[in-house]
Amino acid sequence: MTTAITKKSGKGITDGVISELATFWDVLPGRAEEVSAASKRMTDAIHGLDPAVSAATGLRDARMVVFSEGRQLLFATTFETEWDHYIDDAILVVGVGVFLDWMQHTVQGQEIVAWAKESGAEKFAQGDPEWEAIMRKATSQLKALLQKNQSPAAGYFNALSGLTLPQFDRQQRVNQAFEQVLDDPAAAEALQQSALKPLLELAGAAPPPPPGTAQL
Amino acid sequence: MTTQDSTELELGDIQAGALMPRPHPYAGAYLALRIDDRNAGRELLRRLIPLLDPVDKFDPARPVSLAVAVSFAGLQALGVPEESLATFPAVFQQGMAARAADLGDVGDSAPEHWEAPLGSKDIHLVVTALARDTSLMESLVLLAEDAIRDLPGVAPIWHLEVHVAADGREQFGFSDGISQPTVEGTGILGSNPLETPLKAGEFVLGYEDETGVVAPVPQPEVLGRNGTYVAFRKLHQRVAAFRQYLAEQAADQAEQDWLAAKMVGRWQSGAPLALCPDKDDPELGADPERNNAFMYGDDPRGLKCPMSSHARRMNARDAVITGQVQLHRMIRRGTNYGPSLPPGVLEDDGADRGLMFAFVGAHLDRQFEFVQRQWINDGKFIGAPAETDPLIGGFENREFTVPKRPIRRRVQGIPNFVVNRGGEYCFMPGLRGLRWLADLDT
Repeated sequence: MTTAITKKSGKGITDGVISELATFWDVLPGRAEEVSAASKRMTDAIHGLDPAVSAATGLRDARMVVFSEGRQLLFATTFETEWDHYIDDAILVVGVGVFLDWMQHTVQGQEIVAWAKESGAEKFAQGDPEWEAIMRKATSQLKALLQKNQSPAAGYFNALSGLTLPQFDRQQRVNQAFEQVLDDPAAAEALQQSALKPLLELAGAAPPPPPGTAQL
Repeated sequence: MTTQDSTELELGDIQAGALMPRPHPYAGAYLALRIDDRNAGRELLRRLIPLLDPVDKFDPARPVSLAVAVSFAGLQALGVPEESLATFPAVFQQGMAARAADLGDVGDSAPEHWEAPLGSKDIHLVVTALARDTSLMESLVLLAEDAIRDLPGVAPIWHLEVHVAADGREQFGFSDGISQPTVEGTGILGSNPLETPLKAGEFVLGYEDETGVVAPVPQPEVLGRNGTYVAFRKLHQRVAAFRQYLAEQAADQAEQDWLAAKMVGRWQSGAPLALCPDKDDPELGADPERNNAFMYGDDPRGLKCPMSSHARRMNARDAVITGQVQLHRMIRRGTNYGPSLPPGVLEDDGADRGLMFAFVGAHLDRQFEFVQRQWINDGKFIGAPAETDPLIGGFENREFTVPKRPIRRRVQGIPNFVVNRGGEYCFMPGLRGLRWLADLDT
């Protein structure tokens, strides 16, 4: 698997098909618990996405860490394709609201909070279609805010950067099918055919390690 | 951030050339002009403005039409103040040649190989003339040239005649220009009744777009509002190489037609694989009510239309991909230039033939550049990073997978069939914006 870092993507680094985004935020005094809870809500929301919707975000992972004794927050993601090109798309899918939920507890997030107050978003409950419509207007501001608080990684390695999620999915299904074939008593004879030689060579081995790690 | 709500589209100010479907068939010409004297350039605009139709006055029965667009260098040549120039997006300011690496314009498509003066800072004004036939188009070009004749400070520096045949086919032999979006508020119907209309701000500056905001408009407002961006590209098509490749990969003509259709996403008639995956249906291909009325949601594996086919890449519709399709749509105009390669000929005759491509949209970066970089020259968004657009992807030795039962077909060693011979980013102002440019007194 190729894991060489080949090019920069925006301010983040790309490794194979993956680009990284790390943003750092100053937590408002006394808000460490709130920002932790809101961070959990955000990752829970991503967890809860329909798989097809989740695929549309291109997100590989999202990590939120409160550190410096509650004074700072790391929001870091990795993303298939390139963050700076797809950030509009991802925000559109995930929704501005889940970002605002934790950003409201940060110093840097106050500008978007002020905008939300001015725009009247406070009059509506989160999840209300009218609130969502107003909050969608904050997409470009949110994008700018994320990019402003982004710090490029000095180095980045992702052991699974050689394949996209659809490729992992396919490999998993192919592997399951192959194991099913091997469970059939007729497999040994069937695999003798010349076209199946590559499979025969794999047939004697133990099931492969997880996709993407085979050549590490 | 602009938070102004969307208002009714000012169709009386938007150039018809930006939004209106082109006649069919038609002949046309692209004229590129250099402005050596800003006053002469402004006078030229004053002469051209009366010849331009706004969207609401456009008569599809009228046999001729003109459109005018200005490059960033052109805005400078017209004497647009620096504070206004600075409000245009960075990619527009840089121009297409400077964006080559991001656009995949490398190798034979690199700017150092472009046809002069394309890619130079001399392309200032681009006038597009369209007419129902060649003689009308020639008279229209004469009209435009008359407007220039006694203006020594304006020099015509490039000219390309284009045409769309009655069968609407481009040089590779496929019916073209079928898929167009519906733009909210224009009254112009797109070609797919199953797709949700797109916000006007995707195509015209000054209106709410699909992200829910009104994107920054070049200032002053009178210049930017109701304008849009246009990306022109003269795309040379290696028709003989395309035919040779198909012949090498297929046992007979039927298999060549099948493979070509899988690469394109449509049969030569324009009939979509999504509706007739196994064989061409010319009647369907010729029916504008049906030939784009489909989605891909029932074909997640691409067994009917491959995920990597050209048409599906350019508009994945409801298929699951990384990203949101509606943020990257474009109004696309393609017209042939040069002679057709006669049917059956497999050897290149050396003629320059291809497609003059024009993108129209309000977001050069999020639409044109994104599509060029992500949908044409990459495959990660469909989970196939090793693949690019099999038809217009800009690299050599590519591969393409055709999902198929019982066994998928994969073709490899696909050469580069399309070479960019040059292009430019232009801004197509509304009519008030053009008058503002004509009335500058700097």
